[in-house]
Amino acid sequence: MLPRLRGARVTDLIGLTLLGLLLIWLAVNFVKGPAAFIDISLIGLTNGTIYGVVALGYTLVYGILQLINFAHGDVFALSGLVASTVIVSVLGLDEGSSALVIIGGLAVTLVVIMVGFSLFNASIERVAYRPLRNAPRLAPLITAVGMSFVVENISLALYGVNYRTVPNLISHSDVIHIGGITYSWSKASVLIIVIPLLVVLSWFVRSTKQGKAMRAVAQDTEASAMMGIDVDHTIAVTFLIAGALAGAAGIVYLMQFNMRFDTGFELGLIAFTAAVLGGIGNLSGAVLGALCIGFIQAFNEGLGWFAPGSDWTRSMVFGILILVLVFRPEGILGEQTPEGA
Amino acid sequence: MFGKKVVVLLSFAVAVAVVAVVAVGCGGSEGSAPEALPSSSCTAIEYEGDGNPDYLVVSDLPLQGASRAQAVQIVDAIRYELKARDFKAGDYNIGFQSCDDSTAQAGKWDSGKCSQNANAYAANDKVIGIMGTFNSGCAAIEIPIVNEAPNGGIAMISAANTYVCLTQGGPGCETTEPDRYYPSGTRNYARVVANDAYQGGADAEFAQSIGLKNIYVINDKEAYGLGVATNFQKAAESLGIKIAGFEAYDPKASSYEALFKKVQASGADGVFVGGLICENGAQLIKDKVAVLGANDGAVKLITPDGFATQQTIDDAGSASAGMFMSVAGQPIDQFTGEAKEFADTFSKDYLKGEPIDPYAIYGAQGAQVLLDAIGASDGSRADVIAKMFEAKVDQGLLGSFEIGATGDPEGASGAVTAIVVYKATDKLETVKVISPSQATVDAALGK
Repeated sequence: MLPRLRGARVTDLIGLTLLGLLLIWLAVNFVKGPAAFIDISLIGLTNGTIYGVVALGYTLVYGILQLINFAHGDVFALSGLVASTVIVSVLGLDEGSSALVIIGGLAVTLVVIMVGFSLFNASIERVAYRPLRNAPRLAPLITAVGMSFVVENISLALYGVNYRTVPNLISHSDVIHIGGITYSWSKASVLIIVIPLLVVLSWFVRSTKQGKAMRAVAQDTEASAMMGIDVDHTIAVTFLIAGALAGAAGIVYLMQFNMRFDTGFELGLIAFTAAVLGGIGNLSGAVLGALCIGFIQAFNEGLGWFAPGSDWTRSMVFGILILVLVFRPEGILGEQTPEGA
Repeated sequence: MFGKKVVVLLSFAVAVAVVAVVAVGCGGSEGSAPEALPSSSCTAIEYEGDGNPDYLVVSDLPLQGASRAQAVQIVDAIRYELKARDFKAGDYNIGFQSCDDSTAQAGKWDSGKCSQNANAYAANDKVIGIMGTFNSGCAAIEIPIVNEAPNGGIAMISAANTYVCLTQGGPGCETTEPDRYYPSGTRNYARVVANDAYQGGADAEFAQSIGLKNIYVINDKEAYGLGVATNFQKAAESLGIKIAGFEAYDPKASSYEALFKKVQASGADGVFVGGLICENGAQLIKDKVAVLGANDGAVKLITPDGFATQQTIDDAGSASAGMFMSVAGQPIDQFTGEAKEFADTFSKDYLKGEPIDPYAIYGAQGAQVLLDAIGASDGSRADVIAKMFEAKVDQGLLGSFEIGATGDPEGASGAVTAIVVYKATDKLETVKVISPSQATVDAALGK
């Protein structure tokens, strides 16, 4: 007992020391350039919000099936590429279109893509995962890896290897310009689209009958079935929601960055890491983890005082993930489980 | 004693053997067709001469992704040269195969494919010369493999590799470079393009000419990108330009806005990017403009030949406007004599109205050097290499030069040491042609 307590204290001490050093580093950078620090924080906030929407898809599915759906990132990438076709080729939106046409066009695209990719994601579950419901856990995991490659190659076959983008439909003019701090409408549009989605998702999971069923299945599948919950239906709904989130994330990402067939691999890795960092299976944790990664990236690349720089971003992100998991294996907001403990 | 059936069978076997010997004999007099390289990477053998080819020349270039347009023109330029010679080099009949060192998944050269191709060339004793590669990173993989190929290694000549350390050591090179590329101890690699010491030097002189005083240098961490960024940095410092920062970027990142915030805080009036457009270059350009403003504004953007393609403008859109891109050579409309004649005929025969890429002329010049070396050799791989290093070009497509002991063009005059700087509008517009001073080139090399 005593050695364990002493071990825990040493571990806590190391963790607190590292946290203290991190805070000191941030504080010094803030003092050296408060405007630049806030500017960089806003970049982290925007990117982290996008990661959060993708991370929610991972964590929803993991929460209910304990399955890491590797295909989720690729569904996100394919949705963004299809959205580029809808925006550019079908609707013909460009910088010259009126504000009303752009807003209407983007709203239509959002609905079409979210609906389309919720069905696409649910069909992946029906075809690839449901038949393996009672198989050993390794089987659906390998199937998920396989589906990831299948979806990625569909994107490659349809869109080729080059990056795709859309015209600057949302103004880059500033919505905030205070001192040296700026925030553009283009960046703000991410929050304008994503925050209502998160509110609706939270309400759905907490307050609706279907949401309660999802939480029940996530807690105990067998007991839920005995209580009359249709488990297969609940899992299908979860995949529908995850697909819709992937579609929304695809559009939001496309409005900010270039995309191509393998964008989902890199972003999927970040989003999955975010879900683990926040506490896999925990919705708030996924968003918090994603925001943490967004801030880590932005601070590491943008701050001037002893920041390792862009070259070290991945090492920083995964280094911090390892540290968090060492000191708090269940993630920032996760609950202790036999796996996570 | 023997049955009738046995006699018939023996007679048949003898007849087959006689036919086989005669066939081999006939084949020997005409030269048996060489075994083709794998169709997974290469085209079928192209040959329009008499009989069968004695040897194979291969091109090794990225035929998929951002560099495809330039690579295809180099391949066509090699075909042009072979046709002009009736597929002969001296007394030897030469077949040609165009091999791809890229993959669809990567959208650019792929290290596995480069290695696989080089091993296939080394294993096929009919392969006597390689035209390639396009990307220096791929060359760094292939050169040592074909350097140790049986019978003295295979001659390799590039129309596009500009990474200094493939042929010379210096700043930015690892201590084992370039020796590690030549494990046999004998050089087998040459190029007909000026290395990045010239490009880095020219870009630095150009930056000085437009009044830049404080430049932030970023690179994609690849052999070429880091190399040219280092050469630029050294040359710029020798010209009194301050380097505000030197940093790598992650081509797989979504956004570079935070990076450019750091550039902004440094007070830089220019950004130099060592990299390739296919390394997420368009996003980099967009984020540069989003944070630091338009390229013709307070902070200029200068890029090397990895960005000097129409695809940069197509991918980055309006954000590319005003950025500068350099590439070795001269503008096509400034070529004269043999080079102009080549450009006119090549455009008519192969391009069907498409604009000619400067790399086509480099490809043709490289093919000429290689085919001349094969023609002058005794037909062995080792002698082709020896003859390639004795090459002297007088008033050729790229002017006059000779292949030096390192494999770089030396004693050059004309296009081979010239660097053209373009400005992006809706197309590449020529701004200036620079032949950097020897002092700047030496500075870029860290001398």
